[in-house]
Amino acid sequence: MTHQPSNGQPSKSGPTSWAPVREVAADPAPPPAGLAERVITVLRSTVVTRDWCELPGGDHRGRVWVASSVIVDIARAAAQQQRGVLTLGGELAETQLRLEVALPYGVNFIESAERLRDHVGEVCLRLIGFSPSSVDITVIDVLPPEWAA
Amino acid sequence: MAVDEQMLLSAAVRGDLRSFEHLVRRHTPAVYRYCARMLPNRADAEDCTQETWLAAWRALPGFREDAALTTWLYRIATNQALMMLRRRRVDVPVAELPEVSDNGAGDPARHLQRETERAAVRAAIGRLPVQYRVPLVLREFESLRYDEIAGVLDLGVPAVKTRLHRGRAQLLSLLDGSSGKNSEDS
Repeated sequence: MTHQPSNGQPSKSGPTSWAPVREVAADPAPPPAGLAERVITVLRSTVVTRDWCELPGGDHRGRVWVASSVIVDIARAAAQQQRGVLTLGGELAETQLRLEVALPYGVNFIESAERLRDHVGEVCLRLIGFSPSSVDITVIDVLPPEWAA
Repeated sequence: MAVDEQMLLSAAVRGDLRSFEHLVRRHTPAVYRYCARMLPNRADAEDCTQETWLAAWRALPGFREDAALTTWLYRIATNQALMMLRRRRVDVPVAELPEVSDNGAGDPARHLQRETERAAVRAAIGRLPVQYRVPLVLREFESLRYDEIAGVLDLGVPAVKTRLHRGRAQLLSLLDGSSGKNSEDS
């Protein structure tokens, strides 16, 4: 028997070798399919419970909770800061934010939505230390071109 | 640590759940593998993986960004696994051990022997006292360095080496016992 533990010391003499240990160690033991996504689902439901969201940073001195409606209000206000954007509605489900907006005629909707998404995420993170996992944007109206000015 | 991982981690520490989710996806295989080697069955390993990530999220504000993410995760996973073991006072029933790959294909007798040996290894690891099991799994199965294990366990490197030495000796002794038993049984 020439197999050795990883410290380089000779294995114990006798009928047992270190080889089966190495074989078990080489077994990749892959996780069950979908485990990471299941963990994320639980994580989201833990971080955001019903209409309240626990903000990170809580410790033995206390924790901070924010109503989901407040997060939506912050997101709407942030969206409103973008030129030409009119925010008409918003909803937070788990950690997924959904905004209903109107955009001016003539602007590129995809680029506008991308900028909006980034800005809302940055503002939420800065103000409450929490960024929605996704920001879905539904354009429900088109504004006159002068709104883009 | 890769640059993108450092960015994800920094954002997660600031409370960005989306970045944390990327880390969950990236490191769940390693966390699960470690839990599966510490605990007696897949269901426990899955629970432990989930509890590890939840605990990690709660502990994020205290994470020192100059620390190694993997070492930190191993530490949390170790605590979760030990809590589960204490709660359930479980041993390792061989019948519930994870399935293993078929390296002995083509030779049924050899295959059976290897499977038996592997099952004996897992059962023996499950019987090791936790103070030996944890460093042994981290070293022999997860290939951590001595100083990394010391970081996970809050021990000095000499203490880690001592525990590893005793753990290996005890593991071989348990395997000797099981192989002797198998010989007598056959």
